[in-house]
Amino acid sequence: MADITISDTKLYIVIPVEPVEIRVEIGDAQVGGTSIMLDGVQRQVGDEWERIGGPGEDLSFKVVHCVTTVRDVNAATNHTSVTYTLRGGLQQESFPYDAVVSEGGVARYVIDFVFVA
Amino acid sequence: MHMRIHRTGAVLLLVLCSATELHAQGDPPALSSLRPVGSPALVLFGVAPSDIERPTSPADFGVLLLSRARELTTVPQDFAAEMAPYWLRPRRTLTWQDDVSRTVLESALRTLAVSVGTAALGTEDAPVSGLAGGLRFQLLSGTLSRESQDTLRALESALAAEGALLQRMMAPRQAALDSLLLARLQEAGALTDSTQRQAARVAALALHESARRELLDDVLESDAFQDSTAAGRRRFDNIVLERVGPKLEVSAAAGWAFPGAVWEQGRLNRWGIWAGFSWESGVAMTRGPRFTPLVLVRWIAQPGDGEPDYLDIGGRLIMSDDRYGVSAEFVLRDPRGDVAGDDDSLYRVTGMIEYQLRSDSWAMLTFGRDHDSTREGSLIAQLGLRVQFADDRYRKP
Repeated sequence: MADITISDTKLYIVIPVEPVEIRVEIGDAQVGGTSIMLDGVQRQVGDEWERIGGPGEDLSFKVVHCVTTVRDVNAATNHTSVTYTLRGGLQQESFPYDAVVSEGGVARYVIDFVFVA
Repeated sequence: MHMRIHRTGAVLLLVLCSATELHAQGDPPALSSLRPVGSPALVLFGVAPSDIERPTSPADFGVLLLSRARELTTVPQDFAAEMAPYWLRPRRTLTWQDDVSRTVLESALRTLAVSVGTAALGTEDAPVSGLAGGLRFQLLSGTLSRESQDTLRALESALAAEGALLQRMMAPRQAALDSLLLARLQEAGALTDSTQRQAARVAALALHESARRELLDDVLESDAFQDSTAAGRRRFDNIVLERVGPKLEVSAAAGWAFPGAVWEQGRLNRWGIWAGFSWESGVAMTRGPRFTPLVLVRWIAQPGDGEPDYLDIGGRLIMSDDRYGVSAEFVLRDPRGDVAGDDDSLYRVTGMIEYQLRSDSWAMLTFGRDHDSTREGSLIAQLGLRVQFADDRYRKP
């Protein structure tokens, strides 16, 4: 079965030197994992708030790359959904995505967030 | 913007050979009559349609209704549909961890399924169409086993690692794309007119996304990525998630008969209610087959047939592993009202074997005797193949 890949690039307005946090929620009782990469440094994030960048780091005009891979394990639905939420910038914003896959299929969300001041 | 690609989903039941007519009208279906009922509306008439519509969104359900509403004066033939209302819309905040255990209300909502179906009840000379509606839900649906939770955590890590691999493989070319994007955005930011600035930003993002999509496709289609991810995925090819502990399922259905398939002549033909209790343990045996006992009580009323109502009480023992299931059931039937024949013979004994041939197909063998052993079709012997298939679709904001 072929994977479904969703790709998108979004802007997020940050306040220079203010910390930015991200939370990634995988809904529909499905299972998935997220890797984020900033300046070549990778780490896994989940549905808890995670700080992006180091203390005092200016994130203006930087790109954080997120890849969330979700597999359908819920017998009741083949729907998958991922919500990225950012806070610490001008305002808290949520970016929802969803996909319907085949039974046991995989949806891959490849989302870039570009921080602008 | 929302985009959707067509999807179909269906379960195809192919009866390869049958020694006899398996069941008479009004009897429960030959296959696994004591299993938690899949579609109560269909069980009531004892039918196993070849294609069950399963709308997964309000839009799908609307299209289904419209496609079947062309001739409202007659009952549609060979129609079966089941849907789970709770899952018709996205549950964005419901993580799998939230679904490990459920309250009674959560269990009922998340397992509620509504079904409708039609069946041919009469003869060739006197056709009668049957229309049934039903629902089922689990008041208790157990908890996700500890073993299943461990499997999901391992799968989470594997999926995150797969994403990390994709990022690393994209990184060398991605850096150049990022630099170009940031330069364009800085140029846009220098514009004094806010409308022009916004338009320039949108254009920059669009150009970036187009180039990035090309890069993404190159990496995803590369042998290096495919080979690397295939090995990781094989570990989770046959994961089986189990809910263990007490399960209590309630089902109910009502059926109407339409002589000559004329809507206005329809009348209530039968109704029924089921309750099944089972207890699955995931702790006693972490390896090898599992045993699940199941007890079922069923009341079927048949006011439209002149047939007696009856009460079924039975039990089923299921032995199952990842790829097979073996079960035996015994059902004692207690008819109410005038009954011809010997009451003592009204019991049913069946055995069933299911074996998973591939991830999407199962072979099934059923054998035994039906309730009235003197009746034609009381010998149960059936070999079948169940196949499930579906296409993909997606939506993007």
